[in-house]
Amino acid sequence: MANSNLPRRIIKETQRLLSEPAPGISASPSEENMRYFNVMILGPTQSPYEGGVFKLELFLPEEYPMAAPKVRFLTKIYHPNIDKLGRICLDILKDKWSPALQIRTVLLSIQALLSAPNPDDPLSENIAKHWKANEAEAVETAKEWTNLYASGA
Amino acid sequence: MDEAMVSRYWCHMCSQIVNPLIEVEMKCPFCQSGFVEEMYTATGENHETETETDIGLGSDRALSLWAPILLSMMGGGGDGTRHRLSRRESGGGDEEEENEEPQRGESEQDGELESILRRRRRNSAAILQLLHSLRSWIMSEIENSGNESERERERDHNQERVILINPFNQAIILQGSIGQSQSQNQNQSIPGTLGDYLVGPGLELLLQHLAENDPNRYGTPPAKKEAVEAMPTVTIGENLQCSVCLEDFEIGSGAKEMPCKHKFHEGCILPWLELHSSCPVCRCQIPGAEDGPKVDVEDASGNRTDSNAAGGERGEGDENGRSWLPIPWPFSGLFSLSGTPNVGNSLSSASESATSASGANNNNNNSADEN
Repeated sequence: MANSNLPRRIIKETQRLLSEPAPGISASPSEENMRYFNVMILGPTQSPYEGGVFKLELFLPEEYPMAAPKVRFLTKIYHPNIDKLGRICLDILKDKWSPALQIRTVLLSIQALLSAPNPDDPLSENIAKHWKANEAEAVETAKEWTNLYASGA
Repeated sequence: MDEAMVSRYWCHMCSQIVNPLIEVEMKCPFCQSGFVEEMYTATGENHETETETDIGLGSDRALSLWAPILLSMMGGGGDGTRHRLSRRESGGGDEEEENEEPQRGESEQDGELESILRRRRRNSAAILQLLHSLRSWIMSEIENSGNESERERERDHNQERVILINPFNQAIILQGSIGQSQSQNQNQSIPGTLGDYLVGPGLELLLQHLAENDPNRYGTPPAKKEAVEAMPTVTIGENLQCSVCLEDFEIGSGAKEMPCKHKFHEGCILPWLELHSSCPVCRCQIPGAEDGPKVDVEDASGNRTDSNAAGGERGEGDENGRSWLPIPWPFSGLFSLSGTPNVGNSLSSASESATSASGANNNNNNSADEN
């Protein structure tokens, strides 16, 4: 695609992501499209996602950084703020986007979201209900899903 | 809601509907990439005849002319944009969207971007208004003719009208044959024709995506022109990085300074302020513009003072007694009939009704500081 016209900022961000990856996060651009990143986030310790390796895809739209990257989980995950298509309910991906944010900070925020599910602002109604009704059980399910789908196979 | 959906898949790499290979994970049969997304389509009763097999994968049905028009009105893409608008009347049918490639050299990028963004904002409002009136027209049509006959008509045409949207690059294709189908009746005016093609779940989807993909859709409104002009240009005297382009300032060079004292390259901050009125670093707000889709704030939200009070730390930028308040998306009524999932923006709509200033710093300061 538009690799030839890649803005300097994207190149800079990419280089830094590759040279100094954030802990528990890897993001590498696709060869065909430098605006498309394959992302892996390790489930944070002390969370039901611990031990899991979660794949995501991230795309920098033409407007980036004036518009937020598009990010989506590819690995199935049981989380009240992530729906079954992997879409993520996170304010900085929507109205709280700022051009001072970066791929790295977005991914760190997503990692933080895994540590702190917020069932009061759900994307998956059912999971959120489950979370609020019986958190221990929901966490158990999240762990099971982590084992089932995110065990790094 | 999920049960009411029919799964279709969109390959973001090939930009087309695909029938994915399902192995360990899903793959596009053409490019083998996994960047395949299930497409939601409302399957309301009006469209029970529409099944997956109707899609005709790989069929080379004529692509609608309308979609690229709408697309380009929204996207403010390349130079073709404005021409397409005028070609609308002639109705020749074979253009496909091709304006996704950036058509500008790096050197002119800043100015170009600026004007694109400006254009985009105007166009977005225009197209949404167009769609709005279109929508009302369709609804009144449907009411007049009654659901039953509407359904009949749909069947007669035996055309599914699928609007395919690539949320990543805003490519929109309205699939369905444009050449036929005007067999029916009364309103042969342009709106009638357009409406006919946009009836159904596709319209809902189109509207939703147009709205969601509009950078103006979220967050603070564009900054007020005067406020932008009032921003001083200061001389950089220390090592400092512009948080927008991530480049270091040259010592002695000029930079625009926001009221919060954060400094940016002029070419970096202006495009942002054309879209939003918050500081990229601290979210401190400068006065927002009143242009753009107008909604009477007091009438619409009815709680001006409440919002203001909750807004707390608004900067000094209120000399004129005007301030921006988060307003409900003026076109949200459009989606009320939608069967399409609106989950994608559940958070943002929630937070949009909260105040823009308060709580703005909560969520990602940590991550922002991490740089």
